[in-house]
Amino acid sequence: MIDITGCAHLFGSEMGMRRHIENRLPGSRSAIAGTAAAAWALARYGETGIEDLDPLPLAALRLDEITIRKLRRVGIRRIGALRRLPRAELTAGYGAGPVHRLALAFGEAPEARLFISAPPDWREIEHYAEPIFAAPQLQAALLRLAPKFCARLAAGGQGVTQLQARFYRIDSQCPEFLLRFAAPTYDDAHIGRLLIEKLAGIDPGFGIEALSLTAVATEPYSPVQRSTETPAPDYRQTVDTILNRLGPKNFWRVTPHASHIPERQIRRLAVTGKPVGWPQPSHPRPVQLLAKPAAITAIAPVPDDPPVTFSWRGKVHRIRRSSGPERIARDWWISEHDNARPEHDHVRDYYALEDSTGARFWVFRAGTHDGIAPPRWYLHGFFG
Amino acid sequence: MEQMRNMYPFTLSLDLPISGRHLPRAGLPGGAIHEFRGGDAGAAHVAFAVLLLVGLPGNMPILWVSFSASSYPPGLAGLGLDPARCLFAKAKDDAECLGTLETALRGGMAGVAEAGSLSRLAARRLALAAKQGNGIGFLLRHAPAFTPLDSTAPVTRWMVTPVPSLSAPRLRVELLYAKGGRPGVFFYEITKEADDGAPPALALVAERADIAGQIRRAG
Repeated sequence: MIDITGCAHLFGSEMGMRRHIENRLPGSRSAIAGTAAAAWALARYGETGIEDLDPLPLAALRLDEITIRKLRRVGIRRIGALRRLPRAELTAGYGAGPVHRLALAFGEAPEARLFISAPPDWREIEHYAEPIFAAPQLQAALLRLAPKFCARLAAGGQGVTQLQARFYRIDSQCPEFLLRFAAPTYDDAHIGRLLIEKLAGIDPGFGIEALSLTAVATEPYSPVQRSTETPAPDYRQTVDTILNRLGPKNFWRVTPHASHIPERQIRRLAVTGKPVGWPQPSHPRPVQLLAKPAAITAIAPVPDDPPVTFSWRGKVHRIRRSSGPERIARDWWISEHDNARPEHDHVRDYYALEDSTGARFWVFRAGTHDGIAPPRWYLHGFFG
Repeated sequence: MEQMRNMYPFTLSLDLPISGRHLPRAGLPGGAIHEFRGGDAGAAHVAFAVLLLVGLPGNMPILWVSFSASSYPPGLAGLGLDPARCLFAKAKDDAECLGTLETALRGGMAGVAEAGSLSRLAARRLALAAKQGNGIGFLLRHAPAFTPLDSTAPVTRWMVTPVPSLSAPRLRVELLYAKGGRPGVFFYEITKEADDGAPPALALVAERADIAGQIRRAG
């Protein structure tokens, strides 16, 4: 049982809220009604979308078994039939129970319910009598909330790793943003700086009536005392700043991945992740790799010789030195055949080339000369 | 000299024949920014910068920021720079790229930015950030040797182009500008990884500092 008084507008409507909850609890039945007793009855005995209590069986009123049996003996099976009877006679015949239950279901009598209070969460909220929208006001509000929030975290021995700031607007919109941290922290000055930097992306609209800071994820954190003689440099705050400015998609570490396909030999890792050391590559690898291999036109003797010349971006490169081929086959056991990728025939032969000016390239030939399609050449990277 | 030693927290050493003349600190000082240019295309300047970064002290993290995310970690590992030390960032434009580098430098990290353009103001801001935070900043650019926006904010400026190799890959490294030093042209080879596990390194093969006409001078 959830008391949703005044909450439904956050989800658009009561239907919207119900859908939202049902999506999170697949297979559940739910109902929304004006009283707790009616909601209980509809959720258990009602049909979806119908809010009429009359066709429901008497059990929906939470009457005891004996009363239900007595009522059934006189032909009363549904709530609608019970409602039509005079209340005084009902009380005389069957006690106060049925009448009281009816009154509860239709909101004629108050019902006291004990609600479970929400678990303690790391949340600070500020309400405003008058909506605020000026940037200095919002900045001041964030700087007021952050120390309160951090003091509570510090007292609880927790550090925040993900922090959500929500701005409740008067037009029932609720813009929000999420701060991520490379390491748990409760440093209010640091958090305040990051909050104010992110504030620029928030549209206050006609005004903001409440503002909250919520820790989405926390970790136990107790600061360690650092040596005063040789303080180790601390890069976490810098990493946090960049992480929140660029977003987690644009800021990463890399870890090696067991694959022979060059572009799949790296896996991106969150900056908080622990990277492992890299092995020396067994074959020379370029320092720069094109995100997508660039098609080039090359002239090469058949069947397996490196190109004599190739042209890329309208410039002809005459090859002076070369090494290769290094054959790399498609990882057919992982991925389905994909025509968008260069190697129809599943094979790439890589060559390291040096042209007459000394520029060094990494090119590959997709396919073989006796393959289904004629071989195609691609430029994939640059050596130093 | 004593004052200078305090000015820069560390130095990335580089083997130069008359290093005192070309680089007063016998290398690339930290707490400053350095610019590497590499013609139109290619990655010779990237490889040169990577080989210098291998000498970074301690476990200083290295931030790679660009808007094309083109550096290839196995290639970095092949040159002896452990990609596990690196953080990679992708910026949406030049301004964000340089802004990210400035944040990293202020925080005392080493930063490498593949930037398109670099205004005098931006270069000065980066130099100040590196000085305040004791970081070291490398700017990798595809740019000609001289542009109208060149400033003296980077402590050294290099032009690195590939030259035809004999056995190992060879680079023509031109010191365009060095604070308190003289420009010069040097030829380096990138030695292969030795059998005893010594990482690839830069080996000086020739110097052309005194040949008239070899050194380009600005203005």
